[in-house]
Amino acid sequence: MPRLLARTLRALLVTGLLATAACGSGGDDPAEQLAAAAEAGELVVYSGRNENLVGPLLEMFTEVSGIEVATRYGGSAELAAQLLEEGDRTPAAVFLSQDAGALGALQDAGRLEQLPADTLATVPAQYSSADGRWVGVSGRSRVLVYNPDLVAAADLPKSVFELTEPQYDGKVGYAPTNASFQSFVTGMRVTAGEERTRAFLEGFRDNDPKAYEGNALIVDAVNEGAIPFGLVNHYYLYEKASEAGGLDKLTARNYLFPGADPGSLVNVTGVAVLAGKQSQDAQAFVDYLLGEQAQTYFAEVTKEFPLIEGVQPDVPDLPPLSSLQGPKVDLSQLDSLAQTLALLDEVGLT
Amino acid sequence: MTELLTGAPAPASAPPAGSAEPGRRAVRAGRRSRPPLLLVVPACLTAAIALLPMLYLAVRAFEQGAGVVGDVLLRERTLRLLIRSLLLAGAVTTACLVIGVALAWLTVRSDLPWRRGWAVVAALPLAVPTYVAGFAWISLLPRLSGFLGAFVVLTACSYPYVLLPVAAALRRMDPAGEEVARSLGLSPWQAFRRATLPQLRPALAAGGLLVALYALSDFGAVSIMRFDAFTRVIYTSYRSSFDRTPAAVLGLLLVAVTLVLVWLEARSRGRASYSRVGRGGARVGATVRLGRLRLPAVIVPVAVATLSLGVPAAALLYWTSVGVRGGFPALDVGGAALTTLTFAALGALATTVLAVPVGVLAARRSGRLPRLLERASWAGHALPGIVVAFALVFLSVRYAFPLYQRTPVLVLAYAVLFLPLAVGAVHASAAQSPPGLEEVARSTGARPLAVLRRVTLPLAAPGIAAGAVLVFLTCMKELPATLLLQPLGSQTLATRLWTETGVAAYSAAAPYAALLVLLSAVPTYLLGVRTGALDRPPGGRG
Amino acid sequence: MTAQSALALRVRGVHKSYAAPVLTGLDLDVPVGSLVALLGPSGCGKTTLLRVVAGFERLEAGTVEVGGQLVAGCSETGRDRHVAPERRRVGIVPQEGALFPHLSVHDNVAFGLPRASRRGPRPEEVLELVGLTGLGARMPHELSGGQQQRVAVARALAPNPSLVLLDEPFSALDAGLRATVRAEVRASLCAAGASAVLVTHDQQEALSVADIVAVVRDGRVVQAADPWSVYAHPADLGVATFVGETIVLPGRAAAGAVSSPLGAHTTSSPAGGEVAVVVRPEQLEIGPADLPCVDAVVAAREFYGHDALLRLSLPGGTTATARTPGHPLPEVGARVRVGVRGPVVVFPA
Repeated sequence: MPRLLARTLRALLVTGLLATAACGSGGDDPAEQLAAAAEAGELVVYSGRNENLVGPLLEMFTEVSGIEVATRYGGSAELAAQLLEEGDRTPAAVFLSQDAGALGALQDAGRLEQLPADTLATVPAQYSSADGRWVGVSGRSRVLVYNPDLVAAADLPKSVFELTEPQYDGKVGYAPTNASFQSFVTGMRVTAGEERTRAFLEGFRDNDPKAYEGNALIVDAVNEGAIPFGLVNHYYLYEKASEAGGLDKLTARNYLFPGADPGSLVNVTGVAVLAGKQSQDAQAFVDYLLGEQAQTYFAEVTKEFPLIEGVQPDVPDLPPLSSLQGPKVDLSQLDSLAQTLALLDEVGLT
Repeated sequence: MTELLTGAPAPASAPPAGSAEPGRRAVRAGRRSRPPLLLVVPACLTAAIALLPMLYLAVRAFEQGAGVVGDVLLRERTLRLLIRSLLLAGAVTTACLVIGVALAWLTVRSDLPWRRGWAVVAALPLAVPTYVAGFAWISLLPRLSGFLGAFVVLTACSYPYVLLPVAAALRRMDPAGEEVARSLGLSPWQAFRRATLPQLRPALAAGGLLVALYALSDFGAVSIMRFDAFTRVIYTSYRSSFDRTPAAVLGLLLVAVTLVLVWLEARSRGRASYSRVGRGGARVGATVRLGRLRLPAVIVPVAVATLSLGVPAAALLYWTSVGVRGGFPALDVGGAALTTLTFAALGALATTVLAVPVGVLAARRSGRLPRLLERASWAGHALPGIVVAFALVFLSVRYAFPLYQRTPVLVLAYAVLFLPLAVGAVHASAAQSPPGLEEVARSTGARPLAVLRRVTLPLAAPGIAAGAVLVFLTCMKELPATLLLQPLGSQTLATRLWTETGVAAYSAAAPYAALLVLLSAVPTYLLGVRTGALDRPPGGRG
Repeated sequence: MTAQSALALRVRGVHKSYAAPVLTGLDLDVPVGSLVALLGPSGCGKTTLLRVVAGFERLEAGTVEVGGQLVAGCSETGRDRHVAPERRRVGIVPQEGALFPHLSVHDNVAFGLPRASRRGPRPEEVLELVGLTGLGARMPHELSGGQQQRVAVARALAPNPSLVLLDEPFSALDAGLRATVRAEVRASLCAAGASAVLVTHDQQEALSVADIVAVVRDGRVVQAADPWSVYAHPADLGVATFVGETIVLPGRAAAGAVSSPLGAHTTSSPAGGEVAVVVRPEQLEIGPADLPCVDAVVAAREFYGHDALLRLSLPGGTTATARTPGHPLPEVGARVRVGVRGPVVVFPA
């Protein structure tokens, strides 16, 4: 008993050292990686997109370019906040963000490097920063997923604002906590104004919408006919289609609200180079993400839209980029999620 | 008499001339003898480390002027948030006190069947991270969101914080009080309520405080259950506005709430000291026969275990089975487990070492400074991990850049977050060994440092070790600070789990979650066994 | 060699107060090699004195010298001095022994020795001194209470302290054991040639083991002398009644002759006029042939085997207790003749 403490502490120390040694012998001692990254000229990337998705892509990049990459994964917003705290001493050279809002916040804080014009020119202007400090890599669109067995195509609403009307009472599924639903609301606030958005949300709320935990569950429910409509991102249907062996095996279909409707907002995954971190390697990384290999990879794995012309991903039934609708909005402005959440909270859609 | 007086005397109340022979109590009064610098200097360092996030929060909160701080504080939403969070913390704490006391009593004092086994099982939910339990519950009962969901998950995961100290106190407690009460004509229940329960007050207060702060600072449960408590709003505030002022103001408010709770806990202990200074170990109270209720009583531990362990286990099994059907993706479970153990072990080590001077000082001296230092060590405990992480990002980037995103800063974050777990353990166990021993040691010529090393620490060792194990366990489950501060390229089980659930790959996540729970179960088991068996005084029958 | 240097402990004018004054100008001398008992009721300040001497409390005025070295108080240079406890060479034996529960008997005894000599012969030597040879490997809880106490003494003696302080070391032992352990500890201290201060509130203990009994009252020593002197010639009525059992009777004294309800006595006390007459119970004899006697009635009796106490009602309504041999014992209600053997002590009334 008296030696218990000494034993416990020793056990902790030994565990720590052994495990460190074990990691070290595995070739990548985590404690040394940052220093190694800086010294060996590795490119440090902060990625707001999941490791399972980005990891293989980064390996392909290293293979192609010979540039080693060290990556920190996290939530896009948390990483953006971390980059803001780090200031100009950040170890990161490149930030890959899940959505444009986080990039907009960094841009406003003067933390992003100006990108070359020819880089920006590779994607349509509306999918990059108006200031030219970040560039979109892949796109995703908000859609209304519907069940053609329950609703005739001709009866589909012409605008998302129609969902507050009585005929949609109890018929629309949505995922209130999902980030893409929230950024849809942000997009509506930015394009249609606060008052109109509030009115829509209140009407939507009073129309007894069905809350789901995630978009995939909504697509399932629509496909099975449990509900006729759902507000989701476009790719959930294609993911389900690739599992099922083709879109023709499914009942549900995506519907894009025509014109500049906030219900068809297109958001992007974007990449930026951090202020003072411009380098050939960083530029090579950005260019790689905009190249055919990465664009195809993104589209095939995530079923998102490639943002450059001429890429033909092997995703059956994915409509071309040019078919996308949605409002013309500076995506950098989608960084006011706080107001969106406050509004959702006030309206009671949480 | 001396035993009863070992508590810190109130400065205002003069001891009557008749009892002026101060005996041991003078040691703790320490009015004339200054606290040794040897303890004070490192204890101040520890307190300073615990207060680091405050520095950051103050910088961030006031960078836009005090007016903005006032605006955030006076928002109606802030008040609602405060009330909601306190309601949740209050409800969870109450439920945990009831469950903790009931299970502790059943496993320590009654003739419940297999009570040794139940004593260990009852501690195991500590091994289940709230984000795992939350996912399990929500996948089982999707409708269980909001207050009720957060309440269920937090209660199921945190009641052992009450159970462990109460069970230990029940074992230590001199049964004489209860026996006297019975002899005076009180029923067993009355005797428990009027003689036993009051003696459990320090354990209840300490455990209740930990639970309350856990409920305030936990993010996993409230985010999965979509209940807008402090932490969730602080997170979404970072996540959504990129304006760090409101988050910082709310963080400061949370620290203030924490310190009020810590102060309340100290008050609720009252002035009396409950430590036994008598010789030898106390007898263990006679086992209470449950009679006809003996078998039905098993329902209590079974129900608690089902809710706290069964649900997560079922969900993990389900996910894993789905994964088996779909074929396992390549997993780096071993590497992540090793990294987890490394970080947690170093975190526990650092936290314990930092906690020793504060805990010993608080146990031995009753002045204002020791009390202040001990309370300061709580400052970081109720803060969400992400706030502490940002604070350390801010500070280490500016003042310790070579260490930034290296293991030491992560370990420091663990220390800031979990110091009170270790400080409490050190304080409680150091307070239990009679100070007379240290005086004897010094009179034989041992210097204060030698006394600490050769007498105080060895005697407090079991308690300190239990505290270290608790910190170890908590570090293993930590997610938000680890994500931001871990060295580039490293992965813990928790961050792997986060990665997999991030792409809804629950079947790929399940092995990480299962391994995390199983690995955490080892230290938890040790904690349970310790309070279940080793803590029994020698010769006592359990 | 001055008289001072022959003292193991010299305490002068020590003042100490918590909320109320506890020590009020206390003086005490402990000659080298002697055992001094500090005798006083609970709360008289004796434990505080011990703590001041050991260095756990700071004094407010006065001086403490251990082995001729000033360890606390004002030095000649006017500097306030407070030597740390570990540098005073003062061993303590606390009330309940307070053995380190995590250390074996050997390690307890060796605790205060320099690291090098912990493995040497000294611990076993001291254990032998206290009569516990061969028990070094035991853990404290494997010892009886008396053995624990002797280990505590051995632990205090091991580093050869200038002075050993024993704080009511026998109070936790049961009565049967107490006398034996007392004698053994006394013998160990003698064998070690140690100077010691024993704090106690038990006058029997003080009288039986000490070379010098120092009676403490209200924070000062009111009498310090050998046990017989303290018993036979108490400094005042308070000491008289505290040390040993007493019968206090009203009386009149003049020029060495005293009269009281027990008859006429002699005294060496100088007081005259109305006095308080102090008689010890063993001075009363039942039916002695060679003493002047008075009549008394046995009101109650307590039989102890080796002797007995008789409560006697005296003429004039006063009562007195007599310690008599256990046999023959008069019945309750019996009329007896009672006389007082030896001189009595008187104090001004």
